[in-house]
Formats: sequence, structure tokens, C-alpha cells
Amino acid sequence: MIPYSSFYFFFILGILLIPIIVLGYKEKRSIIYYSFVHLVILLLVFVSDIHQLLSFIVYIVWQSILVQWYVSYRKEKNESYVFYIAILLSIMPLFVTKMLPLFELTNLIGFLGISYLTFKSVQMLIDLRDGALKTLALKEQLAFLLFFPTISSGPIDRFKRFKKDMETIPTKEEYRLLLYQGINKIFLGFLYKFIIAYVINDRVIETPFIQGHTPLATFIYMYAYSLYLFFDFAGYSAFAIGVSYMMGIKTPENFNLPFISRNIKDFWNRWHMSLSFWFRDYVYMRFVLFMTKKKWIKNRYAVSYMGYFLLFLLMGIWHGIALHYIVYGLYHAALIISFDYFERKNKQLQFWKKNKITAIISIIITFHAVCFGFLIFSGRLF
Amino acid sequence: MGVFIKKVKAFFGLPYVHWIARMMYYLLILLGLLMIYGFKMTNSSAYIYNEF
Repeated sequence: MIPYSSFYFFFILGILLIPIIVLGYKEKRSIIYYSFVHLVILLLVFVSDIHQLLSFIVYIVWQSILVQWYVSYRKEKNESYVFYIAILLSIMPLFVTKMLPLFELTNLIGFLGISYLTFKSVQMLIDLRDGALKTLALKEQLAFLLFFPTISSGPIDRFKRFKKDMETIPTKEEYRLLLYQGINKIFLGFLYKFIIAYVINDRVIETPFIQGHTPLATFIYMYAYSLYLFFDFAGYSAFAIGVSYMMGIKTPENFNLPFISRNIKDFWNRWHMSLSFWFRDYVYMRFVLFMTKKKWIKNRYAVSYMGYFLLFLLMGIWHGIALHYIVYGLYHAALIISFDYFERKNKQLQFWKKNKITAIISIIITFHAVCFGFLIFSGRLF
Repeated sequence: MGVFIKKVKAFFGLPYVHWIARMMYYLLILLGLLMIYGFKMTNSSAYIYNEF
């Protein structure tokens, strides 16, 4: 069963959450009951496919051994090559999962949420390497990895933030607010996913005219698909965040009105934020720091542009090893590099002044550029 | 005009008006769900990002 995809899931979840809500109001938290709820939901998600269940268990054991071994290693040594091997071993199951479709082999390794679990594991390894994390108990690692509200598609939380929430029991007033916000988000999720996304898909995308490949159909499809993608994913995120809040965990937001972005940088600070911030911190920043340290290229703009190129190429490939995903990544790299150049020139020449009219024009241009990106992403063009 | 806007803002700032508006919002969403799906335990399509 896919989380948040059926009313049956919400019905079971609602019943399971009642004791958590009652305890929340009493300023208590039962780790045993938390674990029980996680076990029930994870079994519901994976039990229908025995291959997925086995893969999931093997994956969790694999990541646990790897990360816990690195925790003990890091206390004594800090060799770069060991860190890189640990990262490669952590990414390997996801890499194999992404590669298998290329060879038309049955994917027995992949399971729902493998990408997001990998992002979390890699994050823990990098934080251990940097010394941002000094210790990491197995139960903490498992609590972070297996947190069911976000297991299938994020949002990608940060370990330190998550741990702080796990260790802090909200007061009655704080929990009342969390519960209120959680319920609001769940209703927003219903509105987004089950009403708006459904209507866009059923009444626009799936109609014979839009399914036809005329230029007008493709033009309408571009906007319909962009909106559908937003309402589908923002709906899922609202459910995941809402349920997290009801469990006393303030999972970070994933969307912040992305279609009113004033430029492409602004867009990536508003769209799938937890993923774009993950790539920014663990790919772009690390690459720029590495290159600055090595001094192979002295031009800092060139280094930054290479960082953007790497970030978006990896982001494209992560979606799948298919031409349209790679082109989508490169398209966004080109957009952000072009915008960065434009922004630098504008600082010198002041040809694009900041006022209400230019702000509206900027939003319109960004919206269309982003929608064209989603048209590439949809795979309809090639 | 400014006084009118202030009064409207104050009206919507009243706790019971806020509560009623919120309940109406929830009810409309539930009504929308009922209109689309009826009383079936509908299994919606998967989320796009579940594929990744």
C-alpha cells in the first residue's frame, strides 16, 4: 500500500494516531507505541510485495552496519578514501536500482522510498565526516531512517533537527498548535492531491485532445502537467508534514508558493526545498569548497558554474537514467548559470531595475521557463 | 474606504468568525471529496515522486 494514496490508509492511520494525540495532550510520548505504529505502517506499505519487503529489510541492515561502522571508525581516524568508499557503498543500492532498467532487468533491489533513505544515510555519513555529528546510536539512526510519515518521498529532514524534536516533548499548548497545524496540512493535502490534482489529470491531461500530439495540445499539456505535478507532490508533502506534526515532529516544508518565484534561484528555494537544499549543501557547497581548496581553477564564477552543472546533472540523473531527465537537469543548470550571469551584469549596468512592473514580468518569465522545464521532465518531447 | 477595510479585517480577526471560516473550509473539502469519490474506499493513483 502506498502511503497517503487511499482513504483506507487514512482510516487506519487515524485510528493509530488517536493514542499519540491523547498522549500529546498529556505532555507524554510512548516510544513503545511509536515503534508499534511504525511497525504496523511499514508492514502495510511493504507486505503486499515480498521482494520489496526483503529489499527494504536488507537495505536497512546494510545502511545500519555501514553507518555504525563509520561512527566507530571516525572516532579514531578520518581518512578521505575511507569516507569516499563509505559514501559509494551507501549509494550503491540506489545506483543499482537506477541502472537495472537500462539493462531491462527485473528490479528486485528497489523499494518504495529507497532514494529518500539514501539521502538520509549519505547525510549522516557526511555529517560524521565533517564532525557535525560526533556520535550516532543505532536506535537514533533507525528512528531517523524509518520515520514513516516521510519514508516514501520525503521531505528530507536533517538528523540534528529531527533528534532535537524526538528528545523534546511539546507542552500541552505547543502540541495543541502542532495538532491544529497538522490537521490543516492534512486537509490541504486532500484539497491538493485528491481534488485539484485529480481534476487537472482527469479533466485536462487524460482527455483525448491533450493526449493527441498537436502543438496546441502540447502547449496546454505543459501548463496542466506543471500544475498537476505541483498539486500532486505538494499534496503528498502536506500529508507527510501534517502527520509528522501530529506526532510532535516538525518535518521541514517542501514547497513555498513556487509559481510566484521571481527568478530561477528563487524557484529552487521554493520548489522541493528539502531536496534542493540537500543538493546545495551536500553536492554544490562541497564541490565549491573542494575546488577552492585545491585551487585548480582560480575563477570563482567558473567553479560556481561547474558546481551548478554538477548539482543539476546529478539531480536529473537521480530522477532516472533517461534522456528527458538528464536534459531537464541540464536545462535548469543552463537557466541558473544564465541568471547568475544576468544578475552580475545587472549589478554593474542596472538595466533591469527593481520595481512592481519588473517583478510581475520576472514572475511571468520564470513561470514559463519552469513550465517548459516540466514539459521536458514529463518525457513528452522525447 | 480605509475604515471599511479595517472593519472587515477586524471582523475576520474575531475568533468565532475564524473558527466558522475554518470549519467551512474543511466542510467544503470533505464535500469535494464526497462529490468526486462518493463513499467508496477509492485507491487514488500513486504519487509521481513515489517513482523516484
